[in-house]
Amino acid sequence: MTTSRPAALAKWLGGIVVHMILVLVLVTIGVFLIVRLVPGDPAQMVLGIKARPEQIADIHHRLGLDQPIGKQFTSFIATLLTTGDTGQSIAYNVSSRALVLDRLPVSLWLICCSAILVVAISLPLAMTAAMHKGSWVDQLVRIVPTITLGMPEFWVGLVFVLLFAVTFKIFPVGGTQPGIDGMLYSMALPSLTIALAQTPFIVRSLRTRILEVLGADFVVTLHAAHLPERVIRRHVLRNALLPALQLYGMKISFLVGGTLVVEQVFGLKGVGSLLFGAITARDFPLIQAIAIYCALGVVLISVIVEIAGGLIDYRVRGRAEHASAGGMA
Amino acid sequence: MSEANSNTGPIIRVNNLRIHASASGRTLVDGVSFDANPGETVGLVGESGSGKSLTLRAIMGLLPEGVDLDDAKAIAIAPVDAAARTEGVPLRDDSHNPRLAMIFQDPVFSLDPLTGVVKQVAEVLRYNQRIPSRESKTRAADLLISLGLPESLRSSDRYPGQLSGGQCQRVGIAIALATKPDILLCDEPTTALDVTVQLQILDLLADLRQRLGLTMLFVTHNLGVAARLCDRLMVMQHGRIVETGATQDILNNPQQEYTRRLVNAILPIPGEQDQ
Repeated sequence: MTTSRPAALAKWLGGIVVHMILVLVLVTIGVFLIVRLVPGDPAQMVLGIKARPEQIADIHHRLGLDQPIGKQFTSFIATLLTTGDTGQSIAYNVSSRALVLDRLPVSLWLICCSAILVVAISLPLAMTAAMHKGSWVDQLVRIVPTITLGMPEFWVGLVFVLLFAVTFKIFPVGGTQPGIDGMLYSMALPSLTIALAQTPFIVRSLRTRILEVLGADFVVTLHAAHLPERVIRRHVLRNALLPALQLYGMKISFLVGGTLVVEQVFGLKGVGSLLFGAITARDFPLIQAIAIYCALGVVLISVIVEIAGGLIDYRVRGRAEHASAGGMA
Repeated sequence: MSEANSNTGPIIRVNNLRIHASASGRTLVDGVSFDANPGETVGLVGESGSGKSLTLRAIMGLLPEGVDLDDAKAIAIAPVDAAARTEGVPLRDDSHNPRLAMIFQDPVFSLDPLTGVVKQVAEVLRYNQRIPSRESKTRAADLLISLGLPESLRSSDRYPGQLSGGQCQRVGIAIALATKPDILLCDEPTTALDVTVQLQILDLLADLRQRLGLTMLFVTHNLGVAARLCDRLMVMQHGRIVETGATQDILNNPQQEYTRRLVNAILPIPGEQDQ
């Protein structure tokens, strides 16, 4: 960016970081309180109604629930800050952090592959549809994603397995394979399943915005300046990208907690399936760990989206820079 | 656009230009014919909806969506013979097909809001004059500064939203000039501007016409603006030319009632009396 002012830029980035820390603090407090505020005794939920009082007391002790609430909170925060952990998992009897970190790579792979596929599918579709507004291509781009929108992810996933893994044997039925190429190979079907569910929103938003921009006065200027069509398209896309990017950020954030079904269908050992097990076993320390790590993931994605938005549109970078540059007008 | 054979005659020849709305078929421009000679400035004046801007957009080949040209052959742009030019210094010394450029009514919205203005001008230089990327930035800043924008653009680019309307119009003019035009089409370039800035832009255009030997078509609803710049005027109403003649003749002796009303509606441009 040629107009970047270091101080204003630092202020903008600082604001994002403060925002991010604030969200994480609130999420941590929320996660801490949820276990304490849910109706009923967590220990009772873990052990069932036939539990003996000494067993309940043991769980209380292990979860620290026998301490005063203030002390519980300080020790929860202290452990979280020093070790990044939320305590021993009840079901697995190991550190919750270790369990989450063990499963994280698969989930990250899945989310990244899906996120890339969403862009790879949406951008050309939206651009082609908008450039040929009203034509059969446009109609097709508008109708086909709506059909996939009507199909639940687990069903699309199963159809893909049946078609591409069982019948044509192109991709594996499930699980992961070692190495980067093995991982990409294993992620093809699950990430496509997720991407197909997300693209309709992005395509629609982007197509509408591209059409708006195509009608803008500056596009006439670009044509009048005899610029090549591909250069004009670049200007149009840049101007159309911001709303779609924000929507994309939200959709990808949902993916962090929403890969559960797809991980189950494809037998992937990711955080989603870990969460599934933790909820079934009422493994509170593990649920807390997953919630906090997911929140961290969502916050990081929001930060990336915010920064990307700022790179596209200087107005997103805030009034500070705008004001410092406005003097000459 | 087809090419006329003559080198010494009019550079723009519009013959029975008709434009209609695609959906309703309503005629928007109805048989407009005129010529413009090299180096001449011709004004198209009339109230809103008289078809003057559409005529200009048709010549540029950039009609808006939902509007159709009846016959593309109605517009002929003649090849430029550099030697035949009498006024000013031509931008190029070779004989060639003339290049058209356009400046627009709303200077702020006619620029890409997310690209710095130096970058926008540089891009036009790069693709129209095949100037390498780095050099194009310097040349763009030179051009912008020569048109009255601040020196500080050399060190840091500005977005259109960070400039005033008058500054944006100067950027618009720079973009037009970066295409090395022979013909400059001006679509109400001063209408959206502050009255004090209008005069500066008109003076800038007059100066450029003189220095570069540009042929100009100038669309405005303000006869006062047209009078300052144009050699000849064409008065348009309901898609037709109702009166045409030398600027002074039209202003001093309007033949049509409609033209008389336009002449009476002239507002003095502030600062004009001081000139």
